Amino acid sequence: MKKTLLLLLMLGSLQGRAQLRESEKLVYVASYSMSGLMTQLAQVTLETKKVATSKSTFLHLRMEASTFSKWDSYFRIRDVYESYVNPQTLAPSLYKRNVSEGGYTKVEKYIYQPDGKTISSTVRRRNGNEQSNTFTVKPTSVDIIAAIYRLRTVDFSKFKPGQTVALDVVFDEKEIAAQVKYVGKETISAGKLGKKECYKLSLSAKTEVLTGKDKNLVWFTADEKRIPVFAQFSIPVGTGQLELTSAN
Amino acid sequence: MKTTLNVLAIVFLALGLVFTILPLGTIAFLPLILALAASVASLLITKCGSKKMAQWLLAVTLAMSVAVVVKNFAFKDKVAPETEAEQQQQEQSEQENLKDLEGL
Repeated sequence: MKKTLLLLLMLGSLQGRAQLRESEKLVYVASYSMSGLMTQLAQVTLETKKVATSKSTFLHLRMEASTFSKWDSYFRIRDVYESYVNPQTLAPSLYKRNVSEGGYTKVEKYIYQPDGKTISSTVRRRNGNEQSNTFTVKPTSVDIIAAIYRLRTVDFSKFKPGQTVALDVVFDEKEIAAQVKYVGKETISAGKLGKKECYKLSLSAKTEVLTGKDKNLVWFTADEKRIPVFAQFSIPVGTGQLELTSAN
Repeated sequence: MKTTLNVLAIVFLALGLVFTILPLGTIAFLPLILALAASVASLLITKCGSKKMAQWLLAVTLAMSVAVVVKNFAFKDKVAPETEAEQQQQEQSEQENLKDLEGL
């Protein structure tokens, strides 16, 4: 526990130093295992962009998941996750999730209040019902998109296999305690980037969304960019993977 | 025995055809491999002169396997381009976001 807290503090201290690249675009192919064979389902895009308002500057983090056209007639997915964060600390100010899966739609918006621990949320569902809520979280809690980028700021080169990083992720108006375990270094094929030495990380969270022990893995390039190049996930309805196809 | 194998080959072939049409990727190979095995077995146990059915099934299975290979490896998966309405919705959402950020 002490080790985790120490790493959490270390992560906090790293946030100030980390400078994520603006205008970065990472494209992935998401596949799902059907009868033991991986079938390509969707394209996932992660983008960063600098956005300025009259008072401050934000880093706009955007993740979009879209099914390939061949699947659209059967089950069309257009999910957009956005987070506007402080470019230095990656502390989120605004989070938006626009889900469109088959006939199911949901739009969720979180506005982080200046105290850093109060969130004003608005949730709009398919039937048009809009619900507003205010809830408090830990000041270190971040949304799912900011969590991905925050994890990229961790310097895993100093980690020993088995060491963990704790993250508190806000999802569906709930705070979920997540843990990232450094497994070790591995050289894997990273799409157009060629073979890359990577940090292999195991994700776990106190949620039913992720299943199995050490079955949710992500590989970050073992360089200062720490690009997520490959991920394997295990969810209640099966297993799948994300593979990097292009990085700009 | 020959009739059973031919029937099995036809069933797996029909399943393979459905899987080939649906966007199920290389999963279509599963019934096609079984259809191939059944048609080859039928061909081997059939005496000369009555191999036409088994030969026909084998040919169709191989043709369908080629179709699966072409469908999965020659054509790149693409995401349908955004419609005008979707683009407008995205622009509107970004403007709303900026408005919210201004208010912070």
